[in-house]
Amino acid sequence: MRMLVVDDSDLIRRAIRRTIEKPNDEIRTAGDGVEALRVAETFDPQIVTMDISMPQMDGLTCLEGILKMRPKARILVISALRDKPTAVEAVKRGAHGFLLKPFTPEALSFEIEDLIV
Amino acid sequence: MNDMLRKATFAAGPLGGVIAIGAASLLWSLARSSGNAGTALLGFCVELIGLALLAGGMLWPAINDHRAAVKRLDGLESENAQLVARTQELQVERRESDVVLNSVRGHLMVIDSSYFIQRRYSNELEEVFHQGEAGNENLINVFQRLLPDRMFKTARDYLSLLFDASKKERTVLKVNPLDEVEVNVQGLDGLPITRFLQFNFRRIIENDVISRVLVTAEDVTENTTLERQLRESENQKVRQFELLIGILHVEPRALDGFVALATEELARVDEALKASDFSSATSGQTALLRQRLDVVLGRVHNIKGNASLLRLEHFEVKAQEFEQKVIDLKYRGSLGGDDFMSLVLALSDFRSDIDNLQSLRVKLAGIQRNVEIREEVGDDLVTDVSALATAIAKKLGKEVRVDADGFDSRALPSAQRLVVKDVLIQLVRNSLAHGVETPDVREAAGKPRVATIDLHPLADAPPHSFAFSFRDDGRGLDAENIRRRALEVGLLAPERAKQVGDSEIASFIFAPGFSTADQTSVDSGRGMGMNIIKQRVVDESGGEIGLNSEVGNFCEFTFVLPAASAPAYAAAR
Repeated sequence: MRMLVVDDSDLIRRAIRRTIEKPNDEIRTAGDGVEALRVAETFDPQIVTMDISMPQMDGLTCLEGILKMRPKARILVISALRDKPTAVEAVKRGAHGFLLKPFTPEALSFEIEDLIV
Repeated sequence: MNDMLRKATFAAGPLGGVIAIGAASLLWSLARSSGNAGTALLGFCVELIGLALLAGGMLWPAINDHRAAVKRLDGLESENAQLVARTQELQVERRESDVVLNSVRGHLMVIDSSYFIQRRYSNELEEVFHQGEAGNENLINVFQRLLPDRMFKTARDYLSLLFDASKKERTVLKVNPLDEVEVNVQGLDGLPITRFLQFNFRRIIENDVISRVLVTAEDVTENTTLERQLRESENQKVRQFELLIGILHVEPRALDGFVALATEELARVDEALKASDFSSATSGQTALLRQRLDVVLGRVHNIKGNASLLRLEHFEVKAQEFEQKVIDLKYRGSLGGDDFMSLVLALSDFRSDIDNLQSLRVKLAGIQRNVEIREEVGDDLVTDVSALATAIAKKLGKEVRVDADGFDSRALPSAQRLVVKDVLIQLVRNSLAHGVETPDVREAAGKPRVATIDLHPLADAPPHSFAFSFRDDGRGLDAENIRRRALEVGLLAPERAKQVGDSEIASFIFAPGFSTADQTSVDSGRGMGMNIIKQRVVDESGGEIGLNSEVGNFCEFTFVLPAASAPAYAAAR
């Protein structure tokens, strides 16, 4: 599985990676929306985990960009935002799943599974 | 029919067993009560099952006999065929569906893909919506009336997601923005009331198409309010804990002193803010109100000084915020009674923190009794003042040493000692903010990098008085700077500016609100410190202040406090 982890916190990126990585997976990470788009140009991820509030380009804009480039990518928004309208907006723009920070490894694994089904 | 049942159950899949029980029992009672069999409309059945499925989830806590329900579920399998047969014959009669709907605690409705509310709902629904008849209406319109603009737009988007088959139901349900939404409605008496509503949604899938959506609405105001209260009381606990941590380093006696002082000063603030005076005040009395503000400012500033002496950061910040509120008012063009409401609120908030401190102090007393109290060597006021000077200097990037040989205030009556303490606090702050230069500047001027504050008793003091001198070797008073500032703030009329001598100019530093600093900070710039000193020493104690300064070299204050002087509040304690 090719996966792209987008989050501006190095700590969170590593936590996500640790949880979702399985043998034979290929995982890339990006620290903001612009970097994520650059990676997606050459990488073609099947699964993307996406933070919402990030410097340079926010997650909502970025997920639209990625879907335009890679329509088959499945996107899980992982965000600390308790702002409900933003969550609705994310799904409207094409997010396939939504997970609130802080999350447990189990919850994350479950959401990733659910993306693939 | 069997097919439809399965589909409907599948649509509600993740809700699991609990709902199946609800569904079973509802269907069961419906089948029993309807007795007379007719022909069922497929759609209605699906809908009813859907309703039952959803209602099951909500009804669950209301089902008293858990076991009975489980038994009924066990029996479901065998009765299923029979049930389906009977349901097929079921006549749809409004009267009967009403019985089912009315027995459900939540409020149910079904909307079609253009959001029209299709089916009847329990009659409590109007209560939730506070809108009277809601029949034949579009849910969008209901939302538009109930919700603030941004939330309405989100709700509209959300409804379209609910009918969008390309979005997974689980994901859509997860981002439900209306699971707790604040609405403002008009009560029966015409006054606005705030309620919290909870909307839940489930898709109804027929022939693989999301044909309709089941909506429940419930008034959860009571729960929400309780939850918020709970959260508030938890926050309160956290605040108390932080307060506790913040006072652990302070000696119990010093803490008592602070509580007493703050209580007294706040009482004075309260007096100055007497609501009745202000509510009747007219615009012509603005000047009078401003004077009161200066009193408040002085009191609060003194609390701040004492808090910083004991390193009670919480109270230092709190007093600072209070001061800012007062200052904001002071510079407002016109003042009325209402303007003081914010101060009254801040005052009561401050008081409750002091009360908290007091109760923590009592709790702490039990613990600290066993802790050895350090042996007192010399005047602890000197120790405290030195520590304060070092702390402020550090914050300002300066270096200072307090030389207080021979200064001893321990023999003073406690009331007088408090005056000395308040004065020293303000003097130290003033010196470090305005007098003492940074080490580099000092070095360039040929002075030692470390400044000296010299505190010593006056040799030629009148009998039965306490007299001392406070001197720093900083840049001294800048008469020109003071003159300019006094002109700016209107203390000095332009035509007099040239005639007034430097010594009179220097006295302006004791005027309330006078400061030569351009910016305010926690350590300076409010111009209250020197005013407090004057209030304490001259106005309240009948003492004298002397001032001597040389530009570039030093600034010295001398104080004479007559023995009998005791501020009213201290004497009362």
